[in-house]
Amino acid sequence: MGFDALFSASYEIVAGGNVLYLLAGILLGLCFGVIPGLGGTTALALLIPVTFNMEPLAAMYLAGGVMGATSFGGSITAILLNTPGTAPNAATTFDGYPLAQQGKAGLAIGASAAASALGGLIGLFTLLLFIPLAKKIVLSFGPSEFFLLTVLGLTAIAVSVRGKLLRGLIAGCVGLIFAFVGADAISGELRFTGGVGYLWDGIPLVPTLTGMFAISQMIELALKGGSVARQEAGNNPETMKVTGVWAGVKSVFTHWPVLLRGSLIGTIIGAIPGLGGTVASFLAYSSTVQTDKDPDSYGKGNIRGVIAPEAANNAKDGGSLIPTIAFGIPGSAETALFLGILVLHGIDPGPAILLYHEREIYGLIVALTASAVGASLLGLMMSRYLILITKVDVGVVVPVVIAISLTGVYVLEGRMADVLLTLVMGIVGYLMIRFDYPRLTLVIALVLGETAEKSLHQVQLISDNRVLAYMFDRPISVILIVATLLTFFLPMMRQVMARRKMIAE
Amino acid sequence: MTKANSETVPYSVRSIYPALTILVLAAAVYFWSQSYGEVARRLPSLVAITLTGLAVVDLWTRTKLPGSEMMRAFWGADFTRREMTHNPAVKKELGLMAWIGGCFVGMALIGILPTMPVFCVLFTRIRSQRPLKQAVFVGLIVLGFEAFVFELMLNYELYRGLLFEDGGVSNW
Repeated sequence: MGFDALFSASYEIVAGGNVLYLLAGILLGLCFGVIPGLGGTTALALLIPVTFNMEPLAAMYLAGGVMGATSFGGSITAILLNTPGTAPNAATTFDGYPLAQQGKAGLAIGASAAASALGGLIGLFTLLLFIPLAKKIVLSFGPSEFFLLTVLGLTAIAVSVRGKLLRGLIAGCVGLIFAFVGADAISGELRFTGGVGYLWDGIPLVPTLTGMFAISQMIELALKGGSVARQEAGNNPETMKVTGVWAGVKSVFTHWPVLLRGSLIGTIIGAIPGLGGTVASFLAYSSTVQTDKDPDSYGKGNIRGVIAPEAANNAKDGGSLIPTIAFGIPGSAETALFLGILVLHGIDPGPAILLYHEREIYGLIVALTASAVGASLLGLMMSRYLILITKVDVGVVVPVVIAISLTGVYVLEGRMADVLLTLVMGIVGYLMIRFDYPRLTLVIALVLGETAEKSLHQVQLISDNRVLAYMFDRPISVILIVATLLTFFLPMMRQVMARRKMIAE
Repeated sequence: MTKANSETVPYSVRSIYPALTILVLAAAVYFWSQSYGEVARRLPSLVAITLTGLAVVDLWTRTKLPGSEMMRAFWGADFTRREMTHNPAVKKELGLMAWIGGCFVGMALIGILPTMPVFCVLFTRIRSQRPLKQAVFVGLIVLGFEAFVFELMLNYELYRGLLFEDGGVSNW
């Protein structure tokens, strides 16, 4: 394990004054987590330009603070207002809000804070154990394996965008087409630029991410209108009473098997590209209900129903970094944005991250660890005041986020063309939301496109155009091909079988 | 498509037009890529052919042709898990795009620093219909943030606009 890098990152967080960046990230993450519709992706998209002048490690602390804090921020509104701040917090509302209605909001928030912090720590510990193994795996990979890995990553993401396999694959192909714009990595020939000089280096990642996740989300939010929180919940003084927090913290230790199971589910689900926090928290919740002696008590205010999803939701952060740092495959929108920050600091996405940028990776792990604990502590202290943020209405949030994100995109390179691209991508992103095509697969295909193309060309050169024969001669490649086929066909077969069973019944 | 699905999902979303647009895009990319050298066109052509196949399946699942129900189930192509549950009018959507487009035109002409607060004030007051005081307050916050964080703290020079900067659009 890279103890030197880990120690150096931990030391720098205290000695280098980076703790301030971490704190700022945590506060921003809590605020964006609390506001439904915003979440970690918007926060990270806004942050990218701000990190431009920073040291890579300081940027990691800022991003890590945001990534670690949004999920707990979202659980506060889920418990007090029955409005999940982020999608994965929806599972917390099932038992968190009934507890708040019984005047036990403090118990639920305390349990959520402790479960989030401990779940996050378990996920990151797993990541630390995996890094040395991941290095060995990466070193044994050749171009054939990297090409197949990108195909597997894209397939896994498309399959896991629940109920949208076909449109997920279509979005992935469009993302690959976007990745082909600019000079070809092998021949240097310009493609799909339409004579526009700006596109010679390809479609830049950061304006695309900002447009796809910040601008499109704001367009959707503005058209939806209304206030952020459900007013009837926020106006009930009984549900807003935050007392008995310590009993909630203690309950997590009493129900440690629930915490452990939730954390393990979160870590494993997080490591599978595309599944993310929502699947993790719902799976943890349903498995807790199914294995409990008293399943009927859930949905009525069972504290275990708060612990399981919150532990899973935070543990998935550590898990989702496994494919991101080992193979350059971002497992979620947040990790795709995190890759955007790395690109901005001259670190190319791909396996080289793990081999040559250990310092930054361990910095992020330290930041995530500190923010998992820090967000819970800060959140507990500020929960009553954080709720007030939900009173800010959409009509004000939308222009502010648009203004700051467009300015942020400009300052990166000082190019107005980036601002124009952000707007175009914002509209494309909104149309994708509108017509139900997942944005995540497009963005991840854009990130992976160059690696896929370069690797395929290398395989063709090495194998003298006998690509398939070459791949089938390599055991790891065969494993990846089988994994891709299984990933693609298994969920569909399961769906068809379930449908047949339903018709038969 | 199930009855419940067709009732709740707007026609524009479940119609054949999105799939047709993708099909046209795939065809355009395929033919465009043929103008490049062998190495440069290899993967784009492959992706365009794959996209054509997927777009045809998408088109099929949106019709009532034989087998479309089965294809929808197999490919997970129904609309039961839509991210966007509301259905805004096209006029409202175009109006919002015009607001954002207007913001860009302002940035391009008079620069970022004056445009952003003005955009926030106008958007909050006219589109969101909030009180003037609140709109001005939001504008001042944005002006303060942009001037302090970007110009002073991070030492960036925000774009001054076509009217106040030499070089025109070629500087973009």
